Amino acid sequence: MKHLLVANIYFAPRSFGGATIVAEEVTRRLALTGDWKITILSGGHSGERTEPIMMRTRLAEGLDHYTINTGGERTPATEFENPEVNAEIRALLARLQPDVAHVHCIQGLGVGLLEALAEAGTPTVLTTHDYWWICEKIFMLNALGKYCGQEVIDQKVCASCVHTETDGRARWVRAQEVLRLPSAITYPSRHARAQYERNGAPSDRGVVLSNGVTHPGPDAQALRRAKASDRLRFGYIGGPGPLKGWAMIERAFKALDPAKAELVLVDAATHLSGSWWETYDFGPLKDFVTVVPGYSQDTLDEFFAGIDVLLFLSTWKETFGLTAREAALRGVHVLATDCGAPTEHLIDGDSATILPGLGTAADLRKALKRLVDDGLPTPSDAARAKIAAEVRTYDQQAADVDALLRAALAD
Amino acid sequence: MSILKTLLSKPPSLEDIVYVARAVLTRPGDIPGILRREAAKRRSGFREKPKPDIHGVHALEAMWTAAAEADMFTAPAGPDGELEIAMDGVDAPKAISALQFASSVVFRGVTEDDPVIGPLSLEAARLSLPQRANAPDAAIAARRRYVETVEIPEAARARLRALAETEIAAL
Repeated sequence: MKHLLVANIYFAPRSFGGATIVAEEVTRRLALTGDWKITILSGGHSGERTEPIMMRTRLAEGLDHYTINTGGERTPATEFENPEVNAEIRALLARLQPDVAHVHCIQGLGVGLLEALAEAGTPTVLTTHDYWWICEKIFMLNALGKYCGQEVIDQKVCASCVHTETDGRARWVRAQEVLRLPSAITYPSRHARAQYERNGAPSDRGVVLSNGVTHPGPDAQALRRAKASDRLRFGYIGGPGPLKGWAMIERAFKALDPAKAELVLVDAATHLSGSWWETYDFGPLKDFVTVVPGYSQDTLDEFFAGIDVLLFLSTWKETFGLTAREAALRGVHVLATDCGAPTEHLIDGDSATILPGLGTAADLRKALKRLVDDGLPTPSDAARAKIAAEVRTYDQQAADVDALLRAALAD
Repeated sequence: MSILKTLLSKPPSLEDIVYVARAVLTRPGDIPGILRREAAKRRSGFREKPKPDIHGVHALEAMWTAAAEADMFTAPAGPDGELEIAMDGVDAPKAISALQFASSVVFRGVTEDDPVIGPLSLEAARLSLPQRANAPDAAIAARRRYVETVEIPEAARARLRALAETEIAAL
């Protein structure tokens, strides 16, 4: 049995974000093959003390999960690389001696992890989920919260956006060095791979490996029928920041009739013992809003049964779009901006309503009113077939990762 | 303009002014993000400032909270041998890290008013470590007190209450 180290910014019992869901689902399936001894490594950020603290939890599957916590003020530089964390990582690798590593998002753990693995002779498969390696802001949003739109990234353009220009340039050089260390780099979409390889990621080891999605259970449709509502329910999974389009929603929703439309907000921050919405002043939106706690993979069907439309209004070109795929598989209409990979499996006017560009409040308002007044379109056979063909399962993704890990070991 | 109105709805403290001035001098690119974050805080209402993390145990409290909610609270003992922790001048974060790999632990110099014996001994109990101490009754009393005063959700507190009764043998 080979020893696999899986690294991600978060992992159960502190699950947060789409990348973490993917890391957990793939890792669980690899564990079930019985071919891998698996240890997890994640980062944490609690408290005020900056020195790293190592903590261990034992997961339900019997896997050990180590978290390296650092507190105090976070800066992009320390999130990218932290010498104190590097020392903890090296000490842990010396103890664990994994045979191979699967590395996901490593904000907070830092790029030193890949270097430490390479120095220890541990082959690595890097799975990207966002643009962190080529953008300090992670999602290519500039200082004003707008998508910067660069295809070939120019450090002079980034200079006004990054923490400091000097750090930004050093970060770029370092990232380009470290991206040469993994045996394979996977991307969740063609869009993401193209963006990375236009900006220096080595093309000889890149592969598009679409993330799996939890498919609906046998009772999903019955749940939807049982939870049907007189109001058209729009679900939003995101916080009050700019990333997921909240500002547009706030402006556009006011034009609707609260007797006909409901805004269901998922407070996913509850997964990290916080809340996005607990003290939020909704003002004129309060008659529309219902806040529900963050859901898990086990309660996915129940959550989507409670909405009719998913608002996927990202203000950046996303690399994948997990919730847009989860919604489409369950027959939930997706109202999205033209935000890259999340709309690849959708057909405008059919399984989805796709706003032009990255959306405006005016366009959103029109789209909302049309859906409320005219009702939702019934997805065509072609739209259903496209979703079924393009939205993979976690079993398929895990099998592909298994093959890549074995190939890395064999090299 | 609306962001300015929101920012002015609650005047900045001296600490805020110093923070922004330092940011202007050292990382001007972050200023728009800082202003948006402050505006969002004002719209959603300020939270109480958390109490200072004097002993470096807040990370532990956060992990306990998550582990309790996910029903994966305890972990087995580590592979290393017995760990000896001298409470006089202990560095709690270092001690927490070392506990993760120990197979048992000895606490020396425990007194009833020691502020970190409670969380350290609870973490040792969470990690299923056999414990010995120079003053077992004082350590257990400190654990019980800590459990009732720590700012933590009730689900985690219930788990800690059970651990607070774990045996500590005398040295």
